[in-house]
Amino acid sequence: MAERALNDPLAAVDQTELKRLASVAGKLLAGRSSTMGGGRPHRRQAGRGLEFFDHRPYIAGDEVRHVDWRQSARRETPMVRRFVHEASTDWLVCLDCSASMQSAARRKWALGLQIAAAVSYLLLYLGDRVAFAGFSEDLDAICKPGRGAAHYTRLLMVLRDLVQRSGGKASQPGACASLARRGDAAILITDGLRADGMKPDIALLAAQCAHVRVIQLEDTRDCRLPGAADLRLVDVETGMARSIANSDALMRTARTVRDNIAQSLRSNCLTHAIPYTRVDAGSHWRDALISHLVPVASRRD
Amino acid sequence: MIELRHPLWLALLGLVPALWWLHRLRDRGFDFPVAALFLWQPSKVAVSQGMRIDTADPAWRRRALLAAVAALALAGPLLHSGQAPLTVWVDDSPSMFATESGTTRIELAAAEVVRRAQADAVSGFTLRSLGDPAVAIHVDSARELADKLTSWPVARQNLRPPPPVLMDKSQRHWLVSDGADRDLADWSANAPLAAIIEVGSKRNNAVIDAIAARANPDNARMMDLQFHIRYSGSIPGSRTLVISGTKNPGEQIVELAPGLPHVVTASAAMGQTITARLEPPDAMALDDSLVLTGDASAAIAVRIGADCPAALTDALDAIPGLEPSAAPARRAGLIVACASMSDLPPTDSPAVYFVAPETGMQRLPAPQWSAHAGPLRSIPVDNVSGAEIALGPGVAVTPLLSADGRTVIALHQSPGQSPAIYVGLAIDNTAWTPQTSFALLVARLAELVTERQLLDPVIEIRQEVTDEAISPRYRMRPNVVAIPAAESDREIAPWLICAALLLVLWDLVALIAGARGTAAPAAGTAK
Repeated sequence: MAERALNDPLAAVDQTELKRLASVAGKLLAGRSSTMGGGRPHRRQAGRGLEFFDHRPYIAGDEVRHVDWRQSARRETPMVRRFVHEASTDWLVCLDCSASMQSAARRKWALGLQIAAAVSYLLLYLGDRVAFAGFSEDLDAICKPGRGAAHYTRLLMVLRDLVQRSGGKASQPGACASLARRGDAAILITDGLRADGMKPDIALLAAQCAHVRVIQLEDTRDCRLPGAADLRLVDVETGMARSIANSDALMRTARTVRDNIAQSLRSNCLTHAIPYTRVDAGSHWRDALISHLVPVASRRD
Repeated sequence: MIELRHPLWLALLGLVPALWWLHRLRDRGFDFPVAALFLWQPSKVAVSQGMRIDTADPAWRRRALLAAVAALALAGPLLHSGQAPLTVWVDDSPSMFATESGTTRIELAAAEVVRRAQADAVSGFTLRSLGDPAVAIHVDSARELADKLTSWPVARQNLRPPPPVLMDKSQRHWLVSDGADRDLADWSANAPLAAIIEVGSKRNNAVIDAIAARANPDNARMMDLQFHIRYSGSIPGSRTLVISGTKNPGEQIVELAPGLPHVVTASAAMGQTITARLEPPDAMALDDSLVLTGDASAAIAVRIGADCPAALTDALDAIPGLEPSAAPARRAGLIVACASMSDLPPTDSPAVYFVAPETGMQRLPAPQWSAHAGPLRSIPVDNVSGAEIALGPGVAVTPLLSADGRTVIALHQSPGQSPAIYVGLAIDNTAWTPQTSFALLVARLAELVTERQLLDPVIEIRQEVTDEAISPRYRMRPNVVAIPAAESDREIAPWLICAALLLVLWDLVALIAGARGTAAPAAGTAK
């Protein structure tokens, strides 16, 4: 229902595809919590446990012992029982709302919104509680933690309001740390365009949260200039200007600088054992999400 | 060659440094939003420092060029293209064919015209004769021009300035002359001539203008001679007149004053060939010598018939220009015979026949000279007897004297034959023949038939080209009227204005291209 009121790019996040992906994600995560280090046992989530959670239709691969024959006979379709996962967690989805995310035809911004919506759906589908924080220098948008389909709708409304919003200022993901409680998990969606590689903010989130993930969005257009020979470059976040003489060498240098920054961010993530994925802004949100989840699943297996 | 009509406008070029300075005061290029400025770290970029940058906007060169082109256009440059049609007016009087240093003046003029034409890159010429301005010869190359000029014929008519209608102001006009003609020199002072090519540097020309000979009144066998010398030099000079064929041949030094005629006298025998020569010869030797041939002054041999009366013989013998001759071997210049019409001797020389009538003479009633008689008409022939001249049917004669409708003296001249005069007057009249009128009649008849002046022969021979025609006496006026610039030169300003407009267009295109290149990426951030 929420899709009807959504505008592009959120309209591209198709729920049918999300459900299909959720089943795959469930396989990838083998029905376990999406966190890798456990979580709070009292949080309700479908998974391995003793406490009944709900029923769902049987899909190939489900353990036969979880089939609820009575419900299957009553509904005339195979149904399995799900149990409250003892390790369900609270997730904080952090989306970078800085102006740099909205530069270069806003491809990073669109993909960031889509990934935020999809991740939220998957986490909610897996039974976790999900909160959302849009940040730039400060918190620009907040959605309190919640669970279930209704919460997903609330999340979409928050994201929808962000679609038309102009960019904020510099990226300060550390601002989200105030929303996270110790033991929460956080997933950071950002372009990482900061000269320091967001080192202090990553450290702050890692200290505050039990588990952090980072998806860096990058756009090749960030390092591309128009054909004019002379330009006055204006930083969309700081407003600072610089006059340059356009050249291929200049753009090559810019790509090198960007790669160095990405490498710095990756190094910071590795230092704190944070899963890190670098995604091109031209990618489909599904591919971007899978590219982030598959390494996780591989590691778990 | 380029000329500027308003060169002060070039002072605008001093604004070029100001343009450069102004382009340092503004930011260069268009604003282009980028995600992160720190990505762009070239080593040699001009870092914005407020409104001032270290290096000027490269567009300043384009605009400086635009300003320079505009300043040049305002300065009004003119290109002396040398491509305007050219008309060369050729003085083709005889003096232009006088030789100086082995070359005729017109050949000198041809060489100079070709040199100037090549220097001015003239490609098309029209040659016009001043002797006949209606004649125009078009040539396309300097070589053809030289060929035409060197083979240019002498004018058959006197020079005359061309009519104004032929002085087309859309063309350039050159005049080629030696300044020997006064009218032409006067005309050139106000004519719209782009150039005057004056040839004929030699101006100390002395010329034997004429040799005149006249029978000596005291001795009919001798003649008095006059040598007329003209001098066109500007300072006094001298020449030696070398005469041959005279009674006392030799040399005579002649002091020459500018502009004054000089006459040297001498005497020589009739029929003597006289040669006069000026020494030393000047550059124009064409007029330094003159020859009076003996034939021009020799007496005409006259053969008188044996039947002619003594009065007639005496009258002929008294004519200075005739020499009675009985020698049959010498060809007679005049035959005088007295016989009946049937007995007249045939001859191929001019003849005067006194015809004896078959029937007898009668007093002529009211004789009248005809219009063809010329000097004969003043001779009285009253109280003279005569008879009609009848040459037979079909023979055309010109009546000279008639009486009562009958021809008494007739002139007969057939094509290809010498003339003959038939006289029907009675010459045995002892009362008339001793009179002066008879001797005068005989002399005039002899003059008429020989076409020579026999009574007082004055022979004159002149240079075929006169002193005035040869001597470059009249210098061309220096105040040459220039062709208006607008008609002979090409304006460059329109081309420069076009170039300036193209530069403006170029600048606009560069601005628009820069704006579009900037606007497209920036569109995403505008929402």
